[in-house]
Formats: sequence, C-alpha cells, structure tokens
Amino acid sequence: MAFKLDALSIRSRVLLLISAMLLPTGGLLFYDRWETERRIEAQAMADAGSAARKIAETQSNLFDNAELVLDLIAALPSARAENAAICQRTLHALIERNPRYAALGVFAPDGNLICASRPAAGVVNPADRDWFQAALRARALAVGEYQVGVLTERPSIGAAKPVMGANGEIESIMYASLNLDWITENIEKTLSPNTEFLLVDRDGTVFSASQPDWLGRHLADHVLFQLMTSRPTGYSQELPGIDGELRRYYFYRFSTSTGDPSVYAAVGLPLAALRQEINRKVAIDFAILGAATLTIVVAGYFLSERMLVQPLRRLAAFSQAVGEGRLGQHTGLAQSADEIGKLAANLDRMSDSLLRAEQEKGRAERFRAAMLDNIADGIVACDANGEFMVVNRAMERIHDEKLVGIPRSAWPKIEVYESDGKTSIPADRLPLHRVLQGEKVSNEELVVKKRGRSRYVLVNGEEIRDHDGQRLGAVVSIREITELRKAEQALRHTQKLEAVGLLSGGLAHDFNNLLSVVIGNIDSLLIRVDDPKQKELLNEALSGALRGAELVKQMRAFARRQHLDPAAVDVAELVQDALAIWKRMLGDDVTVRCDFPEGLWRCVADATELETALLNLITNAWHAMPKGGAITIEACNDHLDAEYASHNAEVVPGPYVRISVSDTGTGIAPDLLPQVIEPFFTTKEPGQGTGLGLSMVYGFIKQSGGHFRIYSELGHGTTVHLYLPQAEQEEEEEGDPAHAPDRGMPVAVAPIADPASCTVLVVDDDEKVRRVATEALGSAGFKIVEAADATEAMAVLKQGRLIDLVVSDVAMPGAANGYDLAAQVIGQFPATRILLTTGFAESAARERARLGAKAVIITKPYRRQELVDRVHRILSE
Amino acid sequence: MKKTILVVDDDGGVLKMTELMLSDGGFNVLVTSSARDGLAVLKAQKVDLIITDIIMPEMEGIELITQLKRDYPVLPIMAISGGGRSHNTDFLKFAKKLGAKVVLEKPFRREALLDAVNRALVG
Repeated sequence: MAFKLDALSIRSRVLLLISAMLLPTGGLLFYDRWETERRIEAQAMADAGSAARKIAETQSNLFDNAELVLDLIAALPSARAENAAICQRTLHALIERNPRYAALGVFAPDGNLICASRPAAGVVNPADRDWFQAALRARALAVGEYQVGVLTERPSIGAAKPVMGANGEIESIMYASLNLDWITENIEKTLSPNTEFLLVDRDGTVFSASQPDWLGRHLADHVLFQLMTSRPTGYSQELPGIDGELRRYYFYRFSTSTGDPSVYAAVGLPLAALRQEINRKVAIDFAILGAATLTIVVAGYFLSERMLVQPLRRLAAFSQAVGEGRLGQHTGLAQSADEIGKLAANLDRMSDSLLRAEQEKGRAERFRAAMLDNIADGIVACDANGEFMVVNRAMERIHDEKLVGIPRSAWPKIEVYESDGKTSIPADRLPLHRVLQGEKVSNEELVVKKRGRSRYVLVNGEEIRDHDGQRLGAVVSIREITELRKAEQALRHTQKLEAVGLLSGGLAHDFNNLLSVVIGNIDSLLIRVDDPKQKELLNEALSGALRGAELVKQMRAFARRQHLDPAAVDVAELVQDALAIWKRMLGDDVTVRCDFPEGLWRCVADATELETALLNLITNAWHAMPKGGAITIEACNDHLDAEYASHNAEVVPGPYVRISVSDTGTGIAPDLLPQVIEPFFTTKEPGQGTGLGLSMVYGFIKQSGGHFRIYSELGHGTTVHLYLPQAEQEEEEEGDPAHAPDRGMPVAVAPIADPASCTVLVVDDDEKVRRVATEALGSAGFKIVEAADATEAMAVLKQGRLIDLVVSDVAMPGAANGYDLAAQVIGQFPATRILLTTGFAESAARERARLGAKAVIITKPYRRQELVDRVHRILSE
Repeated sequence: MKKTILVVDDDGGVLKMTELMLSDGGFNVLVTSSARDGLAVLKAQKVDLIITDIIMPEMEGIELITQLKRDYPVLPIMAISGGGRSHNTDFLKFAKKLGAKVVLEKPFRREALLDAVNRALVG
C-alpha cells in the first residue's frame, strides 16, 4: 500500500513534523559520537607519541646521565679513596640529590665492592653480571639487562663504566643502578589515565610498565613483543594486551647512545573501553533525546489536539453544516486572535452573509411565487431538457395535478385540439415542444381535453436564452378562455334567437295585417257565394290562410309577442283536466305518470298557453318514443337563487313552480341540445313537425317571466323543466295607468291657479327644442329650470331644489336616456312627476307599460298649447 | 237604428276588409287611416264604437286610447293588433289596461269580429 502524505491526519502530520525536527539532533548525536571517537583516537595517538617521546627522552636522559654520573663518581677523589666511609657518604649524597638512581657503587675489577651509596646487606660481587662483564670487555659504558639490583635487591637496570688507570689498566668499575620506579612514575605523569605502557628490553623483559604486575614479565613469545621487534616505530594495531584487554597499541623502539636497539616501548590505549564509554554517553544522550522527543511528541499531541485538531474539527463540522444548507451557524472560534481565529471570523461572516442572501433569496422567491400564483394565466417554465422548473397555481389547476420537477418523459398526457375542438394536435406539435425547438407561439387558441372536460385556452410561449445565447429552456403561458368562449357561444346563441325573434316578430305584424285582409275578405265572400263548389274553393283558401295565421302565432309565441292572459294557475288541476285528452292522443303504448306534491304553489301563466306548451312537450315526448314508453309529468316548488341567475340569462331570482316533462325516448345528442329551441329546428322527419314546438314553449315561458331548461341523454330520454313564477297572492286587480275618473264627455283641463309656485325642469339636448318648451311653459307662468342631459338633470334634483315636474326628451346622448332618467326620478324623488316626449310611438307604448302612472309620455310633434295643457293636467292631479 | 262604428287602421287592406265585414254585419262604418283623423271624425259626429289598431305611424293606438279615455270616457273602445314590429310588449293587454273594452288579435275571422263588436256595444 503506497504511503500517502495526504491521507495523514493533521495530528499525524504535526507529530511527523516534530519527529523531522528531532532528526538533526539525532544526527548530531551520531556525529558527536564519531567525532569523540576520532578525537579520542587522535588524543590517544598524541598521548602515545608523547609517551614515546617521554620514554625516549627519559631513556636517553637516563643513560646519558648515567655515564655522566659514573664519570663524575670516577672523578671524585673520595670515591677513588680507599676510605670506604667517605666514599659511601659522597655516593649517598649524590643519590639523595638524584632520584633517577636507586644505588651508586664502586667495584674493583674483580668485582669486590669498594664502596656503595648504601651499605650492602652481605658480600656483593657483580662480576657475573652482564653489565659488569660488558664494561670490562668494552672498557666503556655498559648497560645491563633487567635484573634484581646487586645493591638494592630490587628490579633494576645496571649501568657500569670502567675507570682507567694511567697505563690503561682498569682501576675500578663505576656502577649506577637505574631507578625503574622513577622511570615508571616519570612516564606515567605524561600519559592520560587508563593509558597503558610497557618498556621491554631487547630480551623481552618488561622493566617499566603502568601495571606493576607486569614488571619483570618476559614477553619474548608474546605477540606484543613480536610486533615490537618486527614493526617500524610508530606502528599501531589493536590487539589484546597482556591482561587480554583490547587496546590500540603504538609501538616504538629506542637505541642507546651506542646505537643498538635496546629498548622497546608499547603504549596501549583502551579504545574498546573508551568506545564503551562513548557509547554509554551517546546512549544517555539518546535516552535524554528520546525522553525529550517523547515529551515533545506527547505535548505536541495534546497541544496540537487543543490548538489545531479541535479547531479544525469544528471548522470541518461548520463547513459540513454550511454545505448541508444549515446556514447562520457560527464556528465559535472567532474570538481567537490567531490565523484560525481570523479564518473562523471570516467563515462566520461568510455564513451570515450566505444566510442573509438565502433569506433574501427566499423572500424574493416567495414574492415571485405569490406573483406567479396570483396570475390568472397558467405559466410553466422548463429547462432545456424539458423538466418543469416553475409551475404556477393556475397551470396546476388547469392540469389538475402537481407538475414541478416532472421530466419531459413524464409530461402529463393531455389531448390537445385545434380551436375547432376536433383536429387533434400530435404530441410533438404541442406548444411546449415547439417552443423548446425555438419556435415562438403567439396567442394560439387550442382546446385541451382532460378527463372528458374541454378547456379553451390561449397559448403564448417562447424559449429562454442566457446572455451568451445558450438555450436555457422555455416558458409557456396558458390563458383559459373557456368561460369567455362559452359566454360568446351563449351570446351568439342568444343573439341568434333574438334576431330570429325580431325577424319573426316584425314579420308577424305585417303578416297578420296581410292575413287579416285575406281571411276577412274570404269570410265576406263566403257569405256572398252560394255555389258549393265555389264555397269549397274559398274554404280551401281560408284554411291555408288560417294555417299561415297559426304559424305566425307560433312565431310570435317564440318571439314572446303573443297575447297572454296570465293568471294564477294550479298546475295539478290544469294537467288533470287535460290528461284524458292527452291520453287518448298517446294511445296504449305510452303510459303517463303524474306527480304533484301537496302544497304545490300556484304559478302565474296564461293557462291556455301553458296547456298548449305542455301538449307540445308531450307530443315531442311521444314522437321520441316510437316503440312506446313512459311520460312523467311532475311539478314542485323551487327557488332560483342569485347565483343561479348570474349564470343564466334573463332569470330573476325568486320562487318558482317547476314543471318537468320526462320521457324514456331516444334522447337528443348533446351538440344538438342548444339548437332545439331555435325556430324551425327539428329532428323529425319532413312533414312531421314545423320545428316551432319547443320554440313556442321557450318563448311562452320566457314571456311569462319563467325559465326553460332541457336535459337529455342519448338512448335514455329527455326531460324539459319549465319554471314559472310563483303566484304571490290571489290575482290583484291591476291598476289602470290612464285611469279616467269619468266616462263620456271630454274632460276640460282645469288650469293650476298659481303656476309660479310650480317649478318645471326642462331636459333636452337640442337647445332649440328646449327653448320652445321653456318659452311655452315660462309664458304660462311656470318657474323653469333647464338641463342638457339626464346627468345634469339628476344633479339639479339632488341639489335639493323642489322640482314639481320634469319635462324630458327621450332620445338624448349620454349614458341615460329619458326613460332611464324617468326611472331614476321615480325611484329617488317620488313627489316629482314626469312628462316624456318622444317621436317613437312604439317605444312610447312599451315604456308606458314599464313606467306606469308616474310618467306621462307624449309623442312629438306636439303643439305648444298641448304641452302647456298636459303640464297643467299633470300638476293638478 | 244602425250603430256607427269608427275604424282606425293605417293598413288600407285591413281597413277595407273590416269595413266590409261590419257593413255586412249591419253597422254604419266610418274609416280613417290615422288616429288624428279619427279624433277629427269623433269631434264631427257621434260614434257608438271605435275600433283602433295599435301600431300606427304618427300617433299610435295607445296614445289614441289614452286620449279617448280622457276626452270620451264613455265611448267603448275595441283594440285590434297583429303584434309589435320590434318589441315583445303585449300591446293588447296594455290596451285593455288603458281602457279598451274588447281586444282582438289579428288576423280574425268575421264571426270573431262581429262577436267582439257586439260584446263591446253591449252594456
């Protein structure tokens, strides 16, 4: 597994850093060890060299000095004197001042002692000693081997020099015993502690050594001695010493003044011990370093935990919270003055500003959503992939489902048609598809069908692009115009009926005059003709004219212009009376059921025409059931409220008697239903019906102030509901608006005694006409106020001035004509009378009926006096 | 003695036909084609019954009836109408309210006219 620095925790990194910082210290320790070893070795070499020099110096000094001392003794008369006592004192004094020598003596050539620096323990004769023999033989200074001194009886090296007589004979032998202890001490002084040395004579005997035990040891077979004798001076080698301890030995050889190699020296440095010492020190150093490291690491662990890891964990938790959208939280570290504190403070500020931005965004989003949801048009925006991003409430209402977040693949399945409602639009030509392909859709009218319901919609839409022209998606708005279209259809239908009504009404008037002439003249002719053949022909003609009259009557009924005599009608009674005749007509195949509840109100209608209407409905029902069936005639009390009235033209809210005629016949197709009341519309075979039956019923009901509804299902049957106003009380004796008090002779107009006490408001937009009226009435003595239109007239009245009579033209520009003004005056100023003038006789008749006795209408042109007379009459009433 | 009936109708054909029927019925018949002329006839001679159309130019029957009720309160009035041209007002009903004793819808049969006239003249 590869080591990854990135994968390390902060704490591990800190510890790694600390460890890295301690590495040089460890390195230093190693270097120090090496350096110490090197230094010690150098010191050892220096020591060894120094010891060698000292040994050489001491050796040389010693032997040189020995000759000098021997020569000195030889020269001393006291030493040559026969007086041993004096000689001894002299030699003793010399020894006292010269510690290098253990003893001094003078021997006879035969070896007898002449005198010595100290008294001898017994008989002393060194004639067999090598140094004695050598001195005699060489007749010069001779140095002996390591041996027990003849005088000192201690290990020593003897040196002897003969004293020559005048004729060259040896007189005596001067002898000095070298003090080996002094040599050893002298050398030891120059050496470092623990440095071993040994001096070996040419026979391999140790005569001076740092270890007293080694003195006298014979090393001829020892490797040390072999190296001493075989290696050049200054050579060094590590090897076990006499005691077996490993040392580095430096080898030297010294020569006497005679030049013979006589002394070998070895200086041994205990390097292993030194190394051990060094290692011990280094171990201690490392232990200290280790302890320090451990302390630092532990401290680092806890300090980094407290100072780095914990704050970083909090920062991590904080950043995670922010990442997850939990804004507005704080790190809790901002109080710290260090870099983490500054970072934390910045993050806190960032969190705060993100929260503010989020809140701001949320507020803006709520505003946007509220605006969108309060737009009546449905709005949908999708991204370039067709996923719905924004959908307002109106759009979801149109689709009856939640749409936000729906991808293109799950777009709601809707049937969309062209504005004719029949031509289906394929899915890939739907507005949103086209807009997503870059097309712009402008005010396209479509029909959306969903769950059997059709909605007319006006569609607009275009694609959305960003600043760089990249397509982001598309937006489509849908305005539902179903109600508008329905209202338009209803209006068109109403207008059509109205037009047919107007046409048939206008025709009826003239046709009735024409038919009157035809029928009347035939009638008159019939009484003048006796010939049966001629009478038959005339009767045929009459019959045709009468059929024409009947047709006109039906048209008038539809046009609501028939002559009606409305009265309170008991529907149950009316039906029961007619039922027998109807049943005879229907035969046995059709059953008739009647249902009239107790307490059924009476309604207001022309009883004869109501019976005709019901007969029409029953006939239609019968024709709809060629194989027989059932007809039900029901009635009940009903109330049409304001809400119902607001959706149905010409319905006045209030109590009604509802009469329903149902059949179990073939029914009428839904699309034909609105047409059934149109004149001449029929589903019957030619010759079976005029197409005026339901039109008549409809017109009759409307003229009677009622309401007509038809409900039908194909294959199940049809029900027609007739609503007729409830009869309030027993028929009132209706007032006569032109009630005359007397009959017979014309009534003379009684003028008002004091016209000046009456104020007349003259209203006419034509100033000339108005002037004629004001002059006429002003001359008659009335007080006159003028107004140019209805608004001005109402303003005058509202000023509080008492107006007795308003004389107004009917045809005036503006929102209100004379009739409207009259209606307002009647409603608001009941004491004020009204006289209207109009050139249209027919409308005058109609308005008289509307305004009743409160208003008098005269037709133009009128004579001046006629107006004055009228005013007098009205005001005197 | 023959009763005198004044017929007012702007339609000449109706006027002539009505005159014939009433003459055949044994009445003395006067005809005018306008309300104003009718009023003039009334001022000139005694009439037992006036038959007036409703919709006429210049001065319509309603106005005439109103004036007759005022000026000749006891003169029986009979209104005849074939309906309005452009409004769905029931003029005959209104004429009756204004004081027409009998009303008759156009077109009418001879018998219906004579019956109506008799009813108007009785009482």
